[in-house]
This record gives sequence, C-alpha cells and structure tokens, in this order.
Amino acid sequence: MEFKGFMINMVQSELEDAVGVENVSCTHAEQITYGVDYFWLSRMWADKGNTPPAPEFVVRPGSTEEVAKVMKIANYYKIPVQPWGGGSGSQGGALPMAGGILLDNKRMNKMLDLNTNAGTVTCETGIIFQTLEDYCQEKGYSMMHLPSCLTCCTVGGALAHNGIGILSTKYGKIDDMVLWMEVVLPTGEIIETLPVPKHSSGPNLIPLFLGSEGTLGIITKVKFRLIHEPEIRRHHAFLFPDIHTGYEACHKIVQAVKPSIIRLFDEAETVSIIKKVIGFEKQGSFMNLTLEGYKGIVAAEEEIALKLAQEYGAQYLGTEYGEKWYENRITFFYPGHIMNNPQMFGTLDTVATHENIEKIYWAMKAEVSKFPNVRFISHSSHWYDWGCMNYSRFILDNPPEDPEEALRLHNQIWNAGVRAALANGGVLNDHHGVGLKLSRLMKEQYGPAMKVLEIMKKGLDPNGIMNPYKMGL
Amino acid sequence: MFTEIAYKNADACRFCWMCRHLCPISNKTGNEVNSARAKGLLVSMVKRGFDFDPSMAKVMWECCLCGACTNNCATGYEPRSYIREARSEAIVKGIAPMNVMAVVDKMLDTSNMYGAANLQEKLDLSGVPTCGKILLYIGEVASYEVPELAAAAMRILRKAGVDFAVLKNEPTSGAYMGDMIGFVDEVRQQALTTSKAIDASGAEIVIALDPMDARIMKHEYAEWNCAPKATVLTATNYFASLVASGTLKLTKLKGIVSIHDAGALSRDLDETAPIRAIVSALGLDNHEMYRHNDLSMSCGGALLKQYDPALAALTCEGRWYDVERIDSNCIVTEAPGSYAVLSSKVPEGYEVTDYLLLLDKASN
Ligand SMILES: Cc1cc2nc3c(=O)[nH]c(=O)nc-3n(C[C@H](O)[C@H](O)[C@H](O)COP(=O)(O)OP(=O)(O)OC[C@H]3O[C@@H](n4cnc5c(N)ncnc54)[C@H](O)[C@@H]3O)c2cc1C
Ligand code: SF4
Ligand code: SF4
Repeated sequence: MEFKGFMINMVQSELEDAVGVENVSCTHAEQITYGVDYFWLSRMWADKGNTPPAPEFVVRPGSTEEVAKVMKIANYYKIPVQPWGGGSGSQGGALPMAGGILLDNKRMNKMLDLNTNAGTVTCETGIIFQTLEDYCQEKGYSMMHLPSCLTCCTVGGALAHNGIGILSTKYGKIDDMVLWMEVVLPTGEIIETLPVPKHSSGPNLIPLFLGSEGTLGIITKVKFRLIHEPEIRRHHAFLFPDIHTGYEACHKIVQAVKPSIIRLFDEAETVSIIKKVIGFEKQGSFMNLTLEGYKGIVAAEEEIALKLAQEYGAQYLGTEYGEKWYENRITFFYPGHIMNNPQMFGTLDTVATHENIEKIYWAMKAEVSKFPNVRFISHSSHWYDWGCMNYSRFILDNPPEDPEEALRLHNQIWNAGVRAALANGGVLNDHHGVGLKLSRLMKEQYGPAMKVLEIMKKGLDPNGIMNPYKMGL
Repeated sequence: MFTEIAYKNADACRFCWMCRHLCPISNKTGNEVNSARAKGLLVSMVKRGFDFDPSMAKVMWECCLCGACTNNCATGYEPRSYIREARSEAIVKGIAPMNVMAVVDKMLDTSNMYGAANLQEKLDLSGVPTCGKILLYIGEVASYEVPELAAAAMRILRKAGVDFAVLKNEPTSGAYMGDMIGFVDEVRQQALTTSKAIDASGAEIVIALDPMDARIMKHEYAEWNCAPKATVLTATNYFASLVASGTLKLTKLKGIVSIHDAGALSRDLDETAPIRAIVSALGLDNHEMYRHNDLSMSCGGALLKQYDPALAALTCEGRWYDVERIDSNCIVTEAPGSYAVLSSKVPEGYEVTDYLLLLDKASN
C-alpha cells in the first residue's frame, strides 16, 4: 500500500511504540538483505544486479505480546506482514513481495525450559535450530531433528514449512516431534494448541499451523519431545546395480527394521556428488544406511538389513563410506560443493507411496530432461513403511543471461517437474514448502479441496495481510 | 574498489547461511543484516553496481571479527577479508558511523584505541629494563584498560626468575588498528615501527601478552615482510612452559572454572592446550562451556567495547549465558580483551578472573 505524506512515519512510530525504537528500521542495507533468501529466483535477481523486493519496515519483536501488538497495528492499516526466520527457505516464503512489514523473529530466541525428567524442551521460535540442539546436547539429549539447514534456520522456519531432518526414518518429521505450540493469529489474538499432540478432543490444531508458512499466523513458542543420544550409531554403505533394485530393497528394509538414515542415490548423483564429496568412484546406485539405538537391537537390525540388501544384488561396501557420508553431511552444502549462481538449479522434492515413488522418479526425469542442457540428479531419503521422499534436482550450467528469460525458464522447468509428480501420485513438495515458488500450483494440486484452505484463510486472516502471494493463499 | 579476494569471498558468502549459528553478534541482535552472509551480499551488490552507502558501512562494524564464521567454513572462505576492506573503504569515503570515527580519530592520532598520549601511564615499570633477550610485549589493552594483568604478568616473571624487558613507550602492534580500519598503509607502518623497536631491544623471545598482538606479529608481519628477528610466543604458551618445567612453582587453588577461549588464540593461532595445562596445574577443575576451543563464542572484544559499548555488552551477555547453563560460576580468560569485556558485565553470583591473576595468586 502507498502511504501519503508523513503517514508512513505515523505507522513507524506506532510500531516503535510496540517493539521499541531500536527494533524498527529499514535501512538500505536491510532492504537488500531481506530481499534475498535461499530461493534461486531471489538470488538470480540479485546476482544480476537488480534491486531486491524490499519491505517498508523491518520489525524485530522480542516477545509474543509484541508480535500480537504488531499484528493488530498491521490489521488496522491493512499492511502486509511477512514473517522471516532465518531466510534460509528455498521457496521464497519469507520474501517481502508485498512490501509492508518484514517481521524478523530472531530476537525471540530463548530456550524457556529443558526438562530432562519429562523429556521435553520448550523455546521461542526465533532461536537458530542448531543453538537449540546445542542446548539439548549439553544435557546428553538431542532433538533428533538434524536437517542440513540446522545451522541456517530458525525453529519457527522449520515448523512453518514442516521440515525434516536426516534421521527422520527413525525419529520422524518435525510434525512427529511437536507437542504444543503457541501461535499469534493474523488478527493479533494469542492462542495455544491443546497440551498434547494426539487426542480425540476435536480437530487437532497443530497440523493446521505446521506447514502453513506464515499465511495463517505466527508460531511464537513450541514444546518438543527430547530423545537420549543413542548408545550406538552405525553406518553402512551399499552399491545397487541400479536405482530400481535399490528402491525395491529399501522398501523391504524399512518394513522390517527402523534405520535412522537411508539414502538411495541414482546413478547420476552417485557419479557426481557422492564421488566428489566422499570419494566413492564406482558406478551404480549408492545407498547409505544408519542404524542406531541400543547395541543389541542395532546388531539384530544390521543382520536383517544387510541380508535384505544383498538379496537384491547389493554389494556391501562396509562402514567407511557410510561414516564418510555422515561426517560430510553438512559439507555438501557449503559454497564450492553446492550448486551456485549463475547455475540454475532447483530441488523438486516430493513424497509418495512405495507404489508410486519410482514412477515419479522416471516421469520427472523424462520431463525435466526435455529442456536442453538440463541435468537431473536424484536421491531418496526420509523413508516410511508406506513410502518415501524423492529429492530430485535439475541443474542448468548456462541459464539465459536476461533475468526475465531466466525466470521464465526456471518456472517452466518447475511446472514440468512438479506436474510429473502430481500426475503420478506425488505432491507439490515434501519438506521445503510451497512459498512463492510453487504458489501458483496449489489450486492444481488441491482441486476443489483448495476451498477448505481458502475458507480457513479468510476466517483467520480477514484482511489478507499474512504473507500475501505465498502458498496460493 | 574492493580487491578481487574480497569480492571472491563475498560472492561465496552472499548466498550461504552455514555459519550463522556461531556469530556472537547476529545471534544477540537477531538482525539478519548482522550475519556473515548479509555482509557478503552487501559487498557483492557493490560489485554489481550498488552504491556503498552509510547503512552498509554501519553493518561492517557490527562485527567483532572473531573469526567464528571463517573457522567454520568447510570451503575456507574468509568474511573478515571483505569486512576489513569495507571498513577501509567506508573511512576513505567518509561514510563510517560517528561512533566509529571517534575511535578511528584517536587511533590515527595516538595509534591506540584509547587515545592515550602515554599508554604506559598506569604501569609501574620502575627497574624494568627496556632491552634484553626476553621481551614482554604488553599491548594496549593490558597497558591501559586492564593494567592489573600486566602487573600480574611482571610479578609472575620475577617469581620465576626470568629477566625480562619491556619497551619504553611500547608502540602498538597495529592489531586493533588493523581491525578498525583494515590493513591499510598506516597499519603496515605501525607494524614496521613496532618490529624495529623489538629488534632494537635485542630481544630473542617476545612474549605477547595479548593474543591479538601475537596473531598480527605471527601472521601479518610475516606477510608484510616485517617480522621481528625474535621468536614471538603467546603468553599462555610461555607461562605454560614455565609451569611445566617447574620454573614457576604453584600452590594448588580449588574450585570449578570455565575457560573462555579467545578466538585469536584458539582459531587463528590454533592454540587451546596451554591455557588448559595452566588451569589444570593450578588445581582447578575446568568445566567446559559447550562452545569451547575453536568453537568458542566471542564476548565481543576490547575494540568493539570502545566504539559500540552497547553492542559489546549485548555480545558479552551471550557468553555469560553459556556459563549460566552449566555448573560453573567462574570464567577464566586468556586474553586481556576478554577480561576487559567480561569483567565489565558480570551477572550476579558469577565471577571472572584471568589466568595471569590466578598464576600470580598461586605462585610464590
Ligand atoms: C543449506 C540448506 C539446507 C537445507 N536442508 C533442509 C533440510 O534438510 N530439511 C528441511 O526441512 N529443509 C531444508 N532446507 C530448507 C528449509 O526450508 C529452510 O532452511 C528452513 O527450515 C527455513 O527456516 P528459516 O528459519 O530460514 O525460515 P525462512 O526462510 O525465514 O521462512 C520460511 C517460511 O516460514 C515462515 N516463517 C518463518 N518463521 C515463522 C514463524 N515463526 N511463524 C510462522 N511462519 C514463519 C516464513 O514466512 C516463510 O514462509 C535447507 C535450506 C538450506 C539453505
Ligand atoms: S564463511 Fe563460509 S560458511 Fe560462512 S557465510 Fe561465508 S561461505 Fe558460508
Ligand atoms: S567475524 Fe564473528 S562477529 Fe563477524 S560475522 Fe564472523 S562470526 Fe560474526
């Protein structure tokens, strides 16, 4: 919205009154910084020297009550509010595309309670996830939520797009870890979910806000369950002749035992990233598997997993490469190893049942490969007894120089890849969210069911100020 | 306006969030603009035609150059390279913040951050020679802000029977000036002056009381071809060897403490063992904070305290929180800057001491 005369200063002083003068600003340096997150398009835009999307106000609340005050002010003036955690989201979810207020939550960074008797930890959501994990580890516990963005993201960001960590196959997605949440509604009311995450006391509110990407409210506090560090963690690696046998074997393994990690790489990723980072030279489909917990149970599980893998023609590679993968699990993401601009790239992660996941892999690969010079690599991690995730990436080394051309091509590749998933029993996304990137495809995915989300949005956010243009809402 | 090296590093950092959890400043301010990636992004935008403006300049000083980001970087990028250059550039362009310029002016006048005409006015150097084989290089912080550490160091050396010298009107090393204004000519000149003064003292060994001085003498002086002839040792290393050899006799102290590693030592000079050997020889039980050794969280440092005391206090609060979560209520520092900062904001029920004060107390 456009402010006339000194109206912008009037709003600013009201925001300053809510959160403190020093916590409202919008310098040129901030405008640039908050206009670029991990989304490839925002990076490309900046890389070409274009002006990033900028907010009018950067507001840094220090408490739930301050968030509530900001939301009330924003509602009165009908100013868009875009929550920002760490800005490490890859879908452009936090970008201030509508101007207005950029709400940086990182001052709300306190651990409120670490209760080793109850096995719970409660914190504000602006805390960096690695910091929370450090606090838990100090006491011999872990969240067991170890995404590759652990050091980059806030707890709020991980909740807002329902993230997942590398140990998910045993310990679950973040939605399996949340016990309770406090949320500030778009209209400024502070609500809490029920004290337990599973019940028959009416519809559960936790899943409504988890994964809502700042479009339905701001998650301000959360209580998670804690897990003891395992007595033993053992890594193994295998080489399958091809991805097909790999999928079949992994399906059998997850129905028999509970590994914490299974990562099955296609032939293209095996000879590129796996070779580069852990030095594995052979061709085929590399798979690393980790089992953990009490020694005796792990030993029994190892025996079963190894036997099943070998039944599907896997060559057992011992423990070395699995250990190397685990040690280097973060190294993959540093500049120099990870894809980077000016390359064009995207992670088309989706999730499906075992029946559909391999179909999706081949369909996506076929669609994405139709674009000239686009490379496609893929792996599947995050396994369930009913299915698994597929994490496919496209990479184009020399995208168009012109930013608008590049944007167009980027979106065309995404449309093609995601539609291949949708047509074969997949979903828009597994764990990075929808954000701005896939917003346009929400209606296509949900069909008539989109109405349910739209009604909820209208009810909770009557002025439509929460994170506009995101998630199709 | 920036060097290729600075741009290369900035272009790596601009889209990378991997080290943000270790930044003692951005984790306290909660402002995205204080992360290493934001500073990289800003410099990279300058490369792409954006004007380097006062708001960007201000951000460059909201950093204590602690090196936690660099140390974490799996691919070896160095945000401090472009941050230092950005500081030089901002000063030349006349867009550095006023609080910064106030200290820069003092440094350009007096070559120390305090603007002290006589840095040694608080030291009792009577009877201390100015020439000798072993030179105690005290540095600006221990000379002026926490002279009790310099006094303790001299008493310890005497108790150990070490003949030592201290330079008269000891010139500053350029360490803090280099952090404040970047490694520009003025800093190189300062380095040359100090190196010559060390050579003129006839020193064979320099004991650098402040790890910041040890770092610049060992790294940059060598790079700038002005290393002194003498061997530069960190004071922690030197005192640990006096303890290990039995030259310095200690009575045992008792209690639980937590060592606060200084980044200049633990990261830049790769030194973490001597302080632990000293603390153990003192009979103290070191309960490590979760982030220790090269992962240590900076407390802000002496320079930040001079030009932005509020930010330094906030940063320091973060370090105290690390000790508050464990069963220790005493921090032991190993650098004068850490002692100066941490002792200026001690939470109730906690205390801070320095290994030099402990060695002085326990030696006879
Ligand atoms: C190197 C790297 C590796 C990654 N690996 C993984 C991985 O292994 N697993 C995984 O799940 N993801 C991964 N991601 C992507 C992931 O989406 C983000 O890193 C992260 O979880 C987003 O958190 P953030 O705090 O940075 O949120 P932001 O990017 O700031 O925001 C993301 C979305 O959440 C909203 N939001 C933020 N805070 C709140 C809040 N408190 N309440 C309501 N809405 C809020 C924003 O408006 C936005 O829509 C990776 C990203 C990177 C950069
Ligand atoms: S120093 Fe390394 S880890 Fe930190 S932002 Fe730069 S490239 Fe990333
Ligand atoms: S040097 Fe220290 S304070 Fe500066 S950006 Fe890096 S981690 Fe943060």
